This record gives sequence, structure tokens and C-alpha cells, in this order.
Amino acid sequence: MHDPFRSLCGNARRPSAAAVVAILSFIPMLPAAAAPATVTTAALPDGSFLVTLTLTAQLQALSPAAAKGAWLCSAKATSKRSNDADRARITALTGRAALDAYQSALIYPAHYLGQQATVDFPIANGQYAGSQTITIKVTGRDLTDRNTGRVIDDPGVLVGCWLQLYDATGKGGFAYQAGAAKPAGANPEDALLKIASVPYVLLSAAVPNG
Amino acid sequence: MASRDATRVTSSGRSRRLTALIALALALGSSQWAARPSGAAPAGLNGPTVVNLTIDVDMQDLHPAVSQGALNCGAVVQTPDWIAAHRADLIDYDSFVKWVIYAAHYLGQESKATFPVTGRRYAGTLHVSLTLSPSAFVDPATRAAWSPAPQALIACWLMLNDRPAIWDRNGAALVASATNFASVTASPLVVAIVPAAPSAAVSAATRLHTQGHFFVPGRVALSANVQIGGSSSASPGSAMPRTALAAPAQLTAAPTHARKAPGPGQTATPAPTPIVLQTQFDAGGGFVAPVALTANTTLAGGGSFVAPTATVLQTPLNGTGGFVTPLSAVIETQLNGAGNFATPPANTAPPGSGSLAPVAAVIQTQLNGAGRFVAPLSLSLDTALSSSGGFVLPTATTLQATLTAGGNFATGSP
Repeated sequence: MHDPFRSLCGNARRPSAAAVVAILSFIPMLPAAAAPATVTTAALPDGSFLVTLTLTAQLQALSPAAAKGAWLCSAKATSKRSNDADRARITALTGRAALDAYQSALIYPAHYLGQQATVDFPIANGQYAGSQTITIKVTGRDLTDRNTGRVIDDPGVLVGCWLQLYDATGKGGFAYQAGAAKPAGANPEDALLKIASVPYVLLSAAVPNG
Repeated sequence: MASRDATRVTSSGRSRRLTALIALALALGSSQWAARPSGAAPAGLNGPTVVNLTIDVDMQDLHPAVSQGALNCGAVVQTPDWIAAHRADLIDYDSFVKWVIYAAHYLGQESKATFPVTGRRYAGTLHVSLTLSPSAFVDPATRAAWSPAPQALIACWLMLNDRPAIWDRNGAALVASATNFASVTASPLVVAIVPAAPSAAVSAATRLHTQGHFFVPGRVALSANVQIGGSSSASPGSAMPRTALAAPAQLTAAPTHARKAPGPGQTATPAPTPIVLQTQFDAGGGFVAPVALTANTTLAGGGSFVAPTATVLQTPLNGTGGFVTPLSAVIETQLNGAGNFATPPANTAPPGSGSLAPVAAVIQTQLNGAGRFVAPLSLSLDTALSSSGGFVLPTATTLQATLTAGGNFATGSP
């Protein structure tokens, strides 16, 4: 089955030092009053920290062809000011432009550092409701000012999960928000991936000194 | 070739013998007998000299990886002048090793006190005991005892996880990493100088207070929900409004772009919001599309209208009181749950029916020569509609017209 993300990962280097300690749990079909998503980071002796994201999602009115979804979650540590700017820039965009900006700002650097995790979930009748917990180990190295060797002024972490949609044959990829003036084209894959709303969660948070 | 090899063997054998002789000479030279200068009493013959050092230790905010600390201590015996001159040379671990540890190690005057580090700190009192060799009291150059009265310099260097601590004088924090765990903000060197006499116990006390200065990425808690839907490939009518579908990702520390959405099965928040319907009335009073209509109402979870509220309809009245199109009229009415006008409305009813009380109405019309309304003209009337749909007279109305005997409006000014 074709999986664009796995193809992407398979051709890239993943540093062993940045091994992801991911604790993934899948809790399908949480009730309506499911707890909100939470992100926690815990200090580690080597200066890295774990970012745990509990993602509660309700998806509906997706393409009837959608059979499987996945959250590709990424994290990187840098100044919160920079993260906020990235987030503002991404959220101001829609469609492929938003995805391009998101990939450039988060997916690519996180992939290089091995700071990613993916969780799958089933989609039936264009709907899904459930919760996943994703844990990503994030290096604190990027919190060091390269000029001074000291901690940067406003250490932060950027965490995001982008929705991926696949049909029953495994074809699909990153969902993206289609503009209202642009109806779905004849390409069935485009019809699968285009959705009316923002297909991602992007969080920027300060990293306190533990 | 064979001769050369034999020479090499002979040379190698000589070398070994020479090395053995040198080693023997050194061993003798380091012994108390060899160290005894002629005419001088051998120092320390009466027994070892014990130095007890008590160190008050207080350390905190160390690197989170540090689990064990230690004080590596050594002692040298020298003249007071020598110690005074070299005390300032102890500036880092290398100089500590050079001036203290090498000599102390050679004479067996070393000691190590370890302690555990938990929770990034340790506080306690350490006791270090060192035994000074009798040879330490003799100048190896002259074989004479140190004179005047020698002193013992006891120096200890802080070790963290078996690595010499580093005095980090920079004021800013280091980001904790796997390799920088040995940094502390104060000197990791402890020095005590005491008078030293052979075969005498010496005690000293000192302190080591320091701390680390690290940025250790700490715990963060955020919260968010995500609600996504509306494939663009579905029919246009099934696409959900973007505002209702914005991916909610709410952060405690930093709010995100998205808003919180109701959970599955929950109805949307029914806050009254102006809704613009593109419709109009047909000849029978029913809605046809499209014409501007503003309704102040709300939507229930299922998308139906709930509690009727004031509605502005863009429509006129005809000469018999019936609605005609198009003309501007303000009508106080309501919408029922099915989207129809509720009865009885405040001041209107389907043409020719209903029992109405006089209410204020603004009618954009005019009168023709026969006293009939023509459109369009602005005219304010305080009047009412009769049960048959005609205007009721009289009411508190300012009319720019007169009435004929037959009850019709006359042309011209009154």
C-alpha cells in the first residue's frame, strides 16, 4: 500500500541519538465529554524532554472514500517567539500553502531530529471520534544560543499534528483545507484529501526551567 | 644481519639492567633511611601523621544527571613560604593535580569522600582523613627536614559523577545536556592549611557551598480539542461553516488559533445571531427566493429556527392593505418553528384576514389623484388595518392630504 509519509521517512536519515521514546496509546471512541487534549513535557537528565500530546478529535463529513486516518505529530524546541511567528504564519494560510509552510517550519526539522510520531485511526462513514496519546522526545539542544552557549531568552516548543487521510487501498496523504471557491476536482485523491476545515493542530508553548 | 640482532639483544639487556638499577636507587632514595640527611634526625619515625578534615558541604540545583559527588583530597607538606607562594597557583583542576595530587599520590597522601546526590542537591558534613608520610616532612633535595615548621596543605576538588567539577563563572544558565553535568557556579576547590608536625594528629574544618546553574526543560501542560469535518468533495450543502470547524487547539500557556468545539452529540451554542435569508414573498404571501430578508433568530442543534424574534421584511402594502412587492415596509412579525409567520403577529397578517389593533407603520408610498396609494413615495401614517385588511380611520396620523366625502383621499394639501 502506498503511504507517502512512510516513503518520506524511508529515504531520510534518522539520527540514532534522537531516538524517539514514544508511548502511544489508542483509545477509540471516547464519549462526547472526552477530556481535552493535553501536552506535558517532563525533564530528562540529558536535557531533553518528553512532549506528550493527548489528542481528542472528532472528525465528520469526510469523504466516503476515507478508510483510515493518521496524525503525523512533530515537535521542535526553539524560542517561543520564533514558534509563535511560525504558527501565526501557518494559520494565516490555507490549503497547500499552509501545508508547505507547516512542513518547512515543523515537519522537516522534526523529522531530521527524529522528533515525530504517527498514530493511525479508523474512519467509518466519513466519521471518527477518539483520542490518542503521543509522546515525542525533544532535544533541548536547540534551546542553546549558538553565540553564547547559554540558554535562549524564551525557550519554547512547537508541537503539531497534521491529519492524513487514506482510502481503502492505502492511497492518500496529507489532508488540506480547500478554499470555498474551489470545489473538489475530478481527481479522486484530491476529493479525499480536501476538507473544509483546518486539518491540523499546532501548539506553541513555553518550556519552563524544571 | 645476525650480528645486528645480537647487538640489539645485548643493548636491550643492558637497558633492562640499567632500568632496574635506577628503580632501585629511586626506591632507596624515597625510603626514610635514604632520606635521612647526615646529622639530622629522621622525620616521622615515631609514627604517621594523621590529618582530619571536616567539610561542610551544601550543593543545590546541580545537573539532573548527577547522582554521585565526591571530594578528591590530597595533602602536601611544605614550608610556609612555599605554600604561600603556591596557594594562588591552584586555579583549576590541572593546577590542583600538578601541585597537590602528584606529590600526594606519590606519598600515599590521598583520600576520597563520596556522597550521594538526590533531587539535584546534597547537604551534609564530610570527613576526610589523610595519613602523611614521614617522607613528606623531608626536603627531598637536601634530605633535611622542612624548616621552619612545615605546614600541610590539604586540597580537595569536587567530583561529580567521577568527573572534575568545572567552575562556570558565566552568569547565564547552561542548557542541561548529557555532557555538561559537572558545572558549578563556585570554585570546586577546598583548601585547608594547617601546621604539620611529625607523629601528630591535625584537624581542620572548611566548607564547600556551591550550586549549579542549568536550564532544565521542565513540565508543560496544555489542552486542546480538535473538530474537523466537511470534505470538500461532499455536496455543497453538507459542508460545514469554517467557523464551526476551526480546529480547536487551545493552550493554557499560549492560546492557539482554534476555538473549543462542543463534543460529539452536543448541540451548538444557541447564541442568537443575525441570519440573513435571501428570499422574498410571492403573491400568496409565501417565501420565494431570492430577496433580502433579515431575521433575528437562532438555530437549534438540528439547524431549525428557534424562538421567533423581530424580523424586517422588505415588502409594501397595496391599496387594500395586502402585501405587494417591492416596497419598503417595517413589519413586526415573528417566525414560527416551521419558518412561517406566527399568528397573530404584532402588526400584520396575511392580506384581508385577521383582527388587528392600530399600530405604527411606516409605508413608503403616495396617493394618486383618486386617493389611491401609488408607489413609491414616503408617507408616515399612524393607522391600523381593519379586519378586512383596509386602513382603519381615524388614528393619530399626520397625512399630507384631505379626505373626500366618500372617504377617499383628496389630492393636494389639506
